[in-house]
Amino acid sequence: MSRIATLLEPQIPALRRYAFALTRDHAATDDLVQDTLERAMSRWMVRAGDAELRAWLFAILHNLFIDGQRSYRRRPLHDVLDDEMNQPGTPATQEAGLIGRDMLARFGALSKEHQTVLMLVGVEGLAYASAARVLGVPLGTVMSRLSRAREQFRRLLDDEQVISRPELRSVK
Amino acid sequence: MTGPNTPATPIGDDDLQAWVDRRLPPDRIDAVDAYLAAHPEVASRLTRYAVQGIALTAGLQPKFEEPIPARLRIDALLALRRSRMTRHVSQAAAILLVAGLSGMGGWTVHDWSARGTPLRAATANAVAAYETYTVEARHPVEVRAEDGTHLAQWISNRLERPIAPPDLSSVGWRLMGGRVLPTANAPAAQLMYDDDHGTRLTVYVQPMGIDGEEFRYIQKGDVRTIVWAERRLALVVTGKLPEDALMTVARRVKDAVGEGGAP
Repeated sequence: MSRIATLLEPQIPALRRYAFALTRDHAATDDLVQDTLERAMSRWMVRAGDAELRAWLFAILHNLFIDGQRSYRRRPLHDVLDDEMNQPGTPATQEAGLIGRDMLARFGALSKEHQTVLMLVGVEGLAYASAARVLGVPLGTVMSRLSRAREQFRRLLDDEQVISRPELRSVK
Repeated sequence: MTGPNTPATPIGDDDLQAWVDRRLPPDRIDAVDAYLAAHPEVASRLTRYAVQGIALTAGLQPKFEEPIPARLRIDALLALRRSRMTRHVSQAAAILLVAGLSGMGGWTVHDWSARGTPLRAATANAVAAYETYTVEARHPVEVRAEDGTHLAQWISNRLERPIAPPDLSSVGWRLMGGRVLPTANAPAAQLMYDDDHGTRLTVYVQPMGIDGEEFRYIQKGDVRTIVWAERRLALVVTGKLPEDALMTVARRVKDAVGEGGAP
């Protein structure tokens, strides 16, 4: 395996996790990650250095997603849920999937700004300064956005009504 | 810094967020802890934030643990890039590649199709042997390198020339072993090497009545080959490697041949 592969491949699970949180679509996730990796390879010689590799990759992914030059389309939520229902799995993982699904549906109701900061800081564990570089905003903006995103997410999680029966809500 | 008469830096929302993320600077921990002890409603809200972060991570864990699709393998993407480049500018790219190689250290690299030589048959044989044996899981070589001088003696006997496998360890390749191959004329030998990632390359040696042929570069799909002739030996280095890595190996082999009868 080439050196570029030994550096990039360990990052792929986290990139897919981040992309999936933003798109909530399996196919769009892998399209987005593939585009990210291809762009990283084409700019490999001008990257900042291996220490910042992770943040650099998240920045590429983030910009691809936000610029939306290619639409990483997200299907309606109930399609995604149906898909996940049909995924094979042991009962234990299906149960975990149910918790995760509800969590992700509510997370998806947040604005993209709030989603990205919660993912980068809360899930991916980036330092605040790294998250600021990925998002292209000042450090202070990261902190205030993080604060609002957490509070907003808390409200969504507490709200019994949110996305509990999407198919019925659409009939009304 | 903070004496009895100096007012303490007030607690900020950034302190509270950093508390959630366990990213508080050490000199702020006591102040924030004291503040939260005095404001239990803030403490419980921050605890909620920490818990919901953990829950979000847990909800995404199945995705994180999923085996990655084959199409995201870097080698697959590299191959895709190459095939795109080839498709877009096939002729121009090939010429540039050859020109680029010949720029490395003064080796001349001829256009393979320009004129046929006996090297062409040796190359075809070498690439066929590469494709046949490098994919072997159990029997990639007939005589393993661990058998010491036996490999060199056996090949030298069959090729009726003193042949010592070149040492490529300085450029990252370990000798696995080798085998004798039939050709239309006299027997040839294939030496196989691998690296830490399990990538394999072969050095093919065939006695011939020619020498003084400079490096030629041939690419067939993702299999790259450099062939030349000296000391009445045809030498063919073959592998699925980037051009520069293959060139490094070829030059090391050429040095070894030049050092005195070896291979």
